[in-house]
Amino acid sequence: MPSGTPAHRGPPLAPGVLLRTAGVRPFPPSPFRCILAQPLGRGPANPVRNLIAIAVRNVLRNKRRTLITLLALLVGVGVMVSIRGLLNGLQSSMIESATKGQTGALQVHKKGYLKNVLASPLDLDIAVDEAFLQKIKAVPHVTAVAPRILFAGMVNVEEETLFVQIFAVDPLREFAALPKRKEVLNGPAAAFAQGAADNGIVVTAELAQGLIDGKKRKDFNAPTAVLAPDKDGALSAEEARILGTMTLTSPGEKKVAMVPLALAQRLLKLQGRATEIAVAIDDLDHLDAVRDGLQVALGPDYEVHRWDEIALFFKDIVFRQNLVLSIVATVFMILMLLGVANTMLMAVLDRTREIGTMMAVGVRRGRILVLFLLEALTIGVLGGLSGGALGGAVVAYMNARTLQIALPTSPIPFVVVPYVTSGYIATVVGVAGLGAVVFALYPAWRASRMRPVQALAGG
Amino acid sequence: MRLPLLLTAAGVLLAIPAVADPTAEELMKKYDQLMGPENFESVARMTAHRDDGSTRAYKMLVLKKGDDKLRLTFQEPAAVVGQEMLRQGDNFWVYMPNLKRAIRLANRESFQGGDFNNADVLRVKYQADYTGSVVADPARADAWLLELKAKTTNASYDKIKLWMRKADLQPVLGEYYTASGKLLRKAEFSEYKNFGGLTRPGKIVMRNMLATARYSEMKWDTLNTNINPPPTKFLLDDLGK
Amino acid sequence: MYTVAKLALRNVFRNRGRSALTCGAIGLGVLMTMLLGGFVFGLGGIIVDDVIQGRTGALQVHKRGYDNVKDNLPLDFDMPYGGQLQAKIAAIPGVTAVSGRILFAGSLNNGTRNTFVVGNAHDAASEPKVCPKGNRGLDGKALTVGQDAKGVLGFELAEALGAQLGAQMVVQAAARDGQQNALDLEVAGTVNNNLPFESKRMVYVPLPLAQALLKLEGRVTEYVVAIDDLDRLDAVAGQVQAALGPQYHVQTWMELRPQVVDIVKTQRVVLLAVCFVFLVIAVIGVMNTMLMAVLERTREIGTMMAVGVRRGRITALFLAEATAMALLGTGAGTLLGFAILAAIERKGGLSVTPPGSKALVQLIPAVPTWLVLVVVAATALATVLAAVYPAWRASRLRPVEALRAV
Repeated sequence: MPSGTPAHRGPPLAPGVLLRTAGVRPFPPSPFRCILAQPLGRGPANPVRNLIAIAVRNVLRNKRRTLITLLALLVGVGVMVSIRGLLNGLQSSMIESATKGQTGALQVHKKGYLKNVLASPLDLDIAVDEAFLQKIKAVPHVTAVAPRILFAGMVNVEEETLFVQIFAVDPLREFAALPKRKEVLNGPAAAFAQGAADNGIVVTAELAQGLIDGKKRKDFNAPTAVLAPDKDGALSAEEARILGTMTLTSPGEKKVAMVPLALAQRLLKLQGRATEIAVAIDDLDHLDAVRDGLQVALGPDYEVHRWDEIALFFKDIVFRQNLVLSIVATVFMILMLLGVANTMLMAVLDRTREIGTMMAVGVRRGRILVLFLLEALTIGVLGGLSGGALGGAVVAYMNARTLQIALPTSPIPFVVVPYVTSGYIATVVGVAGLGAVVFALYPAWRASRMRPVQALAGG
Repeated sequence: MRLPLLLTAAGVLLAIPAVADPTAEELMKKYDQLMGPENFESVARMTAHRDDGSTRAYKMLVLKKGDDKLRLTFQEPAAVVGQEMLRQGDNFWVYMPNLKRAIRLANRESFQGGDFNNADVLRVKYQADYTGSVVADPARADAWLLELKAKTTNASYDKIKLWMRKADLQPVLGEYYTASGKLLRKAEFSEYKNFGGLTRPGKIVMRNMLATARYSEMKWDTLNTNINPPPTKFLLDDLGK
Repeated sequence: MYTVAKLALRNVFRNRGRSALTCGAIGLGVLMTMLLGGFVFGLGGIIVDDVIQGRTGALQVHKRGYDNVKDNLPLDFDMPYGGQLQAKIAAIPGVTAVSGRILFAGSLNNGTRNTFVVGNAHDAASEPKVCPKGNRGLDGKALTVGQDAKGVLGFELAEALGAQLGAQMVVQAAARDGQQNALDLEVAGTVNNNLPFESKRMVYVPLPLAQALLKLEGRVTEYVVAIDDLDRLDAVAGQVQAALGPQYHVQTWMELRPQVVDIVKTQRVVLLAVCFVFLVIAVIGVMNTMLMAVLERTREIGTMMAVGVRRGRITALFLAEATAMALLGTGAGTLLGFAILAAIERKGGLSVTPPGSKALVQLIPAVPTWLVLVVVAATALATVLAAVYPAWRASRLRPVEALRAV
């Protein structure tokens, strides 16, 4: 042996089989037994499985090195999974807020309603008798329907009359279909959801301020009326009572009033009619199916839209969030896998003699390449799994505690319940494994290119 | 004795007056008399033709006193029976019978969906608000063309062209222009009736010349100018009674 | 000291592969932070730009009280235009341009039908100086000086009224004195910014047309002000307010669009969080590498101890190597980051659609210097700290075993 090499613990290198018969503990260590145990001249019985077994054992053999590599993967994957979980929860919450708090999962209108510019929206009304509503409910996955009328009108309190945007909803139906809507009702306004007061209305704080606070009075008991031109254009008015205030959840029109549908129907001479129908479904996965089903059931006189075709800005936000996360995740992966590559390279350098030995006893270069790639795969998969487990644990913890996140565009904080799908974790594990293989290509190639003699000599 | 006959004949000939062309002031005064009596009570019908082709017809009792007090009480259609509109100077209220109170509205445009913004042609004080000149219109030899230019801020239009029949000085056609010179509205007067001694048009068709799909008609069933409504009729408390 | 440094450097360059990987990890972390930071700040810049240069301007001035009733588009809060008042505003240091606007309610007629619209009148001569990006989403020709009878419509409005390019419409409104007035308007273009109200109800007209239409000759209802240095926004706003007096109300774009401020802030917070994680990963990679190095160089360390190098020196050596790699890595990362950012900038930026708009804009990544400095310092520091444990481990080796190690 060249003098530069460290002292051995045992006798000089020799093929394991010979050593075994000599009763001495074989060196290099046992994995080679599998390859070499077959009589020379005949190929191993199950080469792939053997290589995998060897690769796994090699990885487990040097615990310290493996662990250090795993640490980087662990943290990176863990963080990625946690962020993905958080974003999932946030996006879910935002979707909930829209589908259960504002627009409903789907909306039905008379054809041409959304694009309408010239005509009064009241001209595009729909008859919402039980038969019609049943038609909608009959479509599979539909759980609830809520007819509404949206129109421009005025609210008058004593001397003060202000122009407002009015949402007329059927309280019992609306809050059954869109339960999160209840959250915007402040204090005494919650009575609106019970549908008790036939003429009770709820206004935004800005509107209340304009109507009432200006007169230095704080109560809502003054004579109040809702006015609007009816469907024929004749001015109409109905007695009303302000129950309380509500919080605006979407930016835009600040002077908004919510009134009972029955009041609006009386006011507008649209008894039994509505301009918009919000539809709730059991599972958002069925959104498109329900939309198509509804369109078929109702015919060409009506148009059916998904909630994200109505709240357009939402798609944008979600798209951007996912895009940024993908970019960030990619970079994480690259950083971590560089670490893996680094480790592999060092391992290759470290195991020069081992590789030389393998070559010396006839293991093909190709097999060596594959072996190292398999080791990388193992580390990648292990790292992915452990990181996924860690991230999953973090997400589970956040899930149990739930979070409150206040976003700028919404005055009501979102309750976020983070979650990750097993599909996502599987993908991550797969990417980690595959990525590790790719990043280990160079080191593995280096290993396979070694010259046996020099390798044996220690490089 | 021939000379006195000649003189008489000449005198008779000379005495047949070459009736002087009316002055702008005279025409304006006549128009105000006919179309803008100081006080009146009337039952009028307004039919609004919307640009989607639909029509809305209203029948109302109109009470006017002086320059600035106007009260409309709706009688048809059923949806607006009992509604009243009160104008006192620049203040404007609508009385809603089911609320039993009057609500002040800021913008006249919002009343009855914009159908009544044509009603301003009824607010007639041409003598005070406009200066006029009479011109000959070769296209219409049977009528004087009175060209009016706004001289106060109360004038609803910057320029008005009014054709009044030479025979009886009844208005036949009106064209209403903006300060920019655009023809905004056109009015056709017809159905001349004798309203208790006052002969004047019983119907006006008002066209929106910028959006021709829109026009409205105003018809007077009855018109009484010989009344003097008490001021109490124009108080908020009186609405609904 | 010098010897340690020299030795450290030599060691670093001796094992090119490993050093390259380590520096690479550090450099990549710094690079990604710079790029992501550039992207986020660039995007934030675009959003703010879109608001300041496309819609509100840096500051706006109204007659006091206008704000409370602006929903009604009142005309009686008008202000003189082109005279002393404007000059007063322009004279404030920091103000680069002043322009006037009128917002009014009216209707647009196509000859047979009409519909309610909101008119937005601006001065074609000075508006580009205060809102140079005001023409986003425009299809057709922007309004220029001298084209006093042309207007731009929201695209759904144009569609509903059947208004093709070049069509003649009439815009009608109640003037200041209450009289209805109307003027011809030729359709010069349509606008589509994914804003439903704008598409259905807005008409952009030249200021002279609105002034003639509304009988507000020489007046405006709104002043829009551009300033040179957005960092001095509040200071300049205060000066303008002081100069004009309490009759007028000066507002910054942040007061006019508070939700935008929030959005940008949120983006930055997210950015910082992500950068932090980048850093952690990069540092773990470094620690990983250094530990490996220590393992691999066990014999070398043993030899050093055998010939008398003190443990402290050994620790110092490894720390120095870490520092060297940190400096090299962050240096390389920063340089590469600047290079890439410069290249993108020279290319004209990335094409993105800012939130709430359909139009493509050029995003020029701009990473603030403070961020680069912070990241570099943090990374370098973290790297060195990460090397503490491995260096300590190295110094704890027992010379005899180290010498014997495989």
